Amino acid sequence: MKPFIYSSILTWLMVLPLIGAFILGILPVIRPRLIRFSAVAVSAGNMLIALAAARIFNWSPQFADVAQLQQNIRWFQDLNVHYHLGVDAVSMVTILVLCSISLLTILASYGVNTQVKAYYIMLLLLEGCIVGAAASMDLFLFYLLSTLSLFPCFLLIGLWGGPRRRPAALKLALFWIIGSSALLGSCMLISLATRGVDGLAFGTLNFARIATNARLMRALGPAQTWTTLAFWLFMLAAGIRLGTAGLHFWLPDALAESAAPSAMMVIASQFLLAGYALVRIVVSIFPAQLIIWHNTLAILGAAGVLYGALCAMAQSDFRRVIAYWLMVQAGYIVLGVTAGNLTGLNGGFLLSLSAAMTTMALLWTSHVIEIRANHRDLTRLGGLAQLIPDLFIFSMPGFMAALALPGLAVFSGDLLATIGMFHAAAIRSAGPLFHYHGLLLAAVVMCLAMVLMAAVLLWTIERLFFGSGRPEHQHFHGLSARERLVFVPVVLALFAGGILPAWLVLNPVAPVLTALAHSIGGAGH
Amino acid sequence: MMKSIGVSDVTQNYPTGAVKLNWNTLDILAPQIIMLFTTAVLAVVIKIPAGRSRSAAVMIGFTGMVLAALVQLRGYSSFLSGQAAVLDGLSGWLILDPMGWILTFSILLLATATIVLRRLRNYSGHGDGRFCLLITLSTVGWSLMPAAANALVLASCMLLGSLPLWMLLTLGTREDAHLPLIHKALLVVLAVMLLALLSMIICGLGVSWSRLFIPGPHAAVILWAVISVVLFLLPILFWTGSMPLHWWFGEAAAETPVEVAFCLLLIPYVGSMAALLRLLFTLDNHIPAVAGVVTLAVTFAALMAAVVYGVQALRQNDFAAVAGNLVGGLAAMLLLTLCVTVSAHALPVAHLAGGLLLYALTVGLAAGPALGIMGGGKSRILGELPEWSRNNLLRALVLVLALLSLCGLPPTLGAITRMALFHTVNSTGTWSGTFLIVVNVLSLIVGGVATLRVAAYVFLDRPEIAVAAPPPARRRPVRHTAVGTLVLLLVASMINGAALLAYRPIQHLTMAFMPISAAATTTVPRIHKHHALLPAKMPIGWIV
Repeated sequence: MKPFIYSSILTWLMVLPLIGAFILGILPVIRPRLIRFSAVAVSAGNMLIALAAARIFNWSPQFADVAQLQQNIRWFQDLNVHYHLGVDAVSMVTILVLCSISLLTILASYGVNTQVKAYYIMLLLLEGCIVGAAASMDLFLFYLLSTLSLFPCFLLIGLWGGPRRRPAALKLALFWIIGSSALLGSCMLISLATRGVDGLAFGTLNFARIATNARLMRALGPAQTWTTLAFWLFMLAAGIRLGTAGLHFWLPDALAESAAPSAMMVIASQFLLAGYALVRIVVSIFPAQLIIWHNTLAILGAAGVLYGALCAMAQSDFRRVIAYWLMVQAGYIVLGVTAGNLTGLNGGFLLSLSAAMTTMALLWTSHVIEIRANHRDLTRLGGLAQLIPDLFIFSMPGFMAALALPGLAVFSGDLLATIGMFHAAAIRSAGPLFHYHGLLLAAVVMCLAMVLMAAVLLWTIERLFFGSGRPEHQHFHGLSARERLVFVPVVLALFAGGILPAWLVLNPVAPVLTALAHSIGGAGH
Repeated sequence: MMKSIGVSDVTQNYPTGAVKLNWNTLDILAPQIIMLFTTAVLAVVIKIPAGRSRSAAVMIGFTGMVLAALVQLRGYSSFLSGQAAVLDGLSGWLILDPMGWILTFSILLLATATIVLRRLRNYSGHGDGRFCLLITLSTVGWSLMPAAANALVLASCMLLGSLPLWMLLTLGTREDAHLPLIHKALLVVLAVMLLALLSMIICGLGVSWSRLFIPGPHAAVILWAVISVVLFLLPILFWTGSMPLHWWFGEAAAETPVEVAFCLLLIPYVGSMAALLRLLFTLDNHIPAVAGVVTLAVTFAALMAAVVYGVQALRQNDFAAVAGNLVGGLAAMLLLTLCVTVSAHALPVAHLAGGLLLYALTVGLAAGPALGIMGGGKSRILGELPEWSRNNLLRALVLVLALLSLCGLPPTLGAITRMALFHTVNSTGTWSGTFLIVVNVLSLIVGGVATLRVAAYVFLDRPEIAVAAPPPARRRPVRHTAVGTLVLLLVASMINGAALLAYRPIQHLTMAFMPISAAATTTVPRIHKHHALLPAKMPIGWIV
């Protein structure tokens, strides 16, 4: 019995929200409270299963980098596609955070009053898809589930949002379709490149197997032109979901036009999933390409970071400031991965977790302001610290985390990614190839962008909270119990991530990330 | 890597001679059994008066045909080990090997789905008898095409399949339909088919006569053979909707009733693919240079068609036209894959056949009912779709899922089709594979965007005026169809049943088609082999 539970627990993690969505579909529309309660129950149940999986998971260093709780069923024999779920420490942590994001979003969505049933169904569908994607060991399954998540995201943005939600949803879907197609193309090129190796007539899409098999890794090496194409297609897919500069055009609109609770789920979860894909999958199967293209990636990432920070300065809509802040963080993740050493990878992964949580805090702040003021225009707000003092208290950790204040989650990620880049620049610049100076340039830009972004966020805080309150805002009431309830866990997570990053995240995932760093030849730097 | 088997191999694998018929050798008579059933259905259709009983009889007949096709399932092992024999007298006409069986089965399934579709639409009954008659006749032709053993049978089957479809166009078109151009084009195609048939007969006679009277190859015979191939290729390009004969696909989908569009777009497509497979593989085995030219031409036609369908799907305002163009896009991709694999001498036939069947299943079982639930005769303008998500959310959901399936996005059966297409690249060369992947990705993006456009209309727009819900009598069949489609789209792809159905029988399949005897196998190779008139590697300029 035990082995069965162990092997199927990840399937249950994925399937329970889907079953919940189906049950919600049966419930009568006229019972919104029942629907809300059921959705919370399902999501809480899933969180419990995730915690149980984490309890079963063997976190000791010698096992943490091994895929555990595996369920491997041959799906399409001739296509060599497997229904293969499994987790190592990185994916386990990601799944825990994804489940938390989902539960918090469902709790935060109690204020949604239109098409309640459809709304919660979409949230649960999305949860099932992203958790499944994070647990999948087969790239086709990852593609399938991440593409499937597009549908609920499209509807969540398009149906429950602002006046221009339709073009925003279309833009999001358009970009994500391009990303998904690129991912599929990449999968097929990987399959093409690995065919015939180790007796695999049709290649393999199991990234854990590829990473641990020298022959498969050699087949995916940079000697083949099409593997470079596969690498760039994968980077395109991850970059679109992350919202990196140049591929970000859907992000500001989606954030600005969607309802805050649904944006919390859509944006935070997808950001985290894309960060996970970049750190866990791209590094494990394309280490050689990362080394070859690191200069290009560093310059692209640095340009994106700088561009995002400058764009954020020009925004008057609070949500758009958040969007460009997120874009900057996406750039940091790319740069952390590009650094290719343990420090950079630690920074990249930590940042994908902490930026997702910080986004939730900032979005919830914007939501609380919006339902009182009916707008988010920074030029027409001010004095909220006097009018809603508890909002000021609860939202400040989110803002401080966003501007990378020490002791809060984002700081550790930003710092590690930047140090990782400096290390990479210092080590590689010693070599004969002068073009490694691109890394140094990127490291300098990262520091500069950190200062710029801090300035933007401080200015935003000033415009939101300081000064005297406007006369039309005098009726603003304090935070409700539900609003506080959403803030509390997010704030706690931000503090925990800042004070105990090593104990909470970095030590457990160290074996995996060390192995990944080894694979790109940057371990220990 | 799969290797194709030419005519001599086929002869080795299928020794002719009298075989004692018993239960164990019944499978070799599958084509004949199918033909018998079809004839029985025809007799029933003619005898029974129009109405529900006739439709029921036709459905029973078709079920029998499908079951007859399943008889073939028993015989794989004997066929593959080369122990099966073909009956004297019938061997020259019909042979149903596993590959042919899959295609035949697809066509029968599609035809059955058409009849079911006709019933599901709650049709008034007008023209029902004629419809059943024509569809049955057409099915006889198309379903026997994959089993045809020589060019004459193949061309005859194609003619038999096409003529009823031309007549079908006159049935139940919408009042504002604009079909005269398709009518004329189809007539021209029929004429071309007739010419192809005559040409092949003349070619065959020419070969015999030249052998008798002329001690060497005759340029006229060679030229005639090439003309035959070209004439044969034209209707194939038409039915597969390739450039420049692509334009009718979207129009047929938009302007004809659902079930007619269904027949026009799908059944001939699968049959024509069977013919094209034979043509290309036969040419590839015997005269690679001509195969190269033909493959290049078809590749270009398919590639252009894929582009044009993509653009058209994005520009259409009629939902059915969008769906029709998506069908065309996927069809073009399949054709393109076939051509590239042939030109790469790779022949991953098993996957290609799997792709074909899955394609047929996808479109037949998903898009067909999805088109059907449009509620025949009602407006299909995209701007009027917002009422769908208000009046019948399930219908709207199924519609979008069907479109997702058509463009090959998860979680639908279409994604598996696309996957099968992608996997054919495993057997091609690297550059061919990369080319296929890039084109497939682009086509996927275009299809996705077209689907997205419809989804936005359905879900995100609000109807300008409140629209009353349809009466319960009309809602019920729509609901049933929608649920059925949903189950097929979601469950079938997940439980892998269709994929297993496609792949199990052909896991160890080698290509065993009988070639087009007159044009390719008999005439040109002999001339090519024995005389120096043709260079060893025929330059493209020779044909052009």
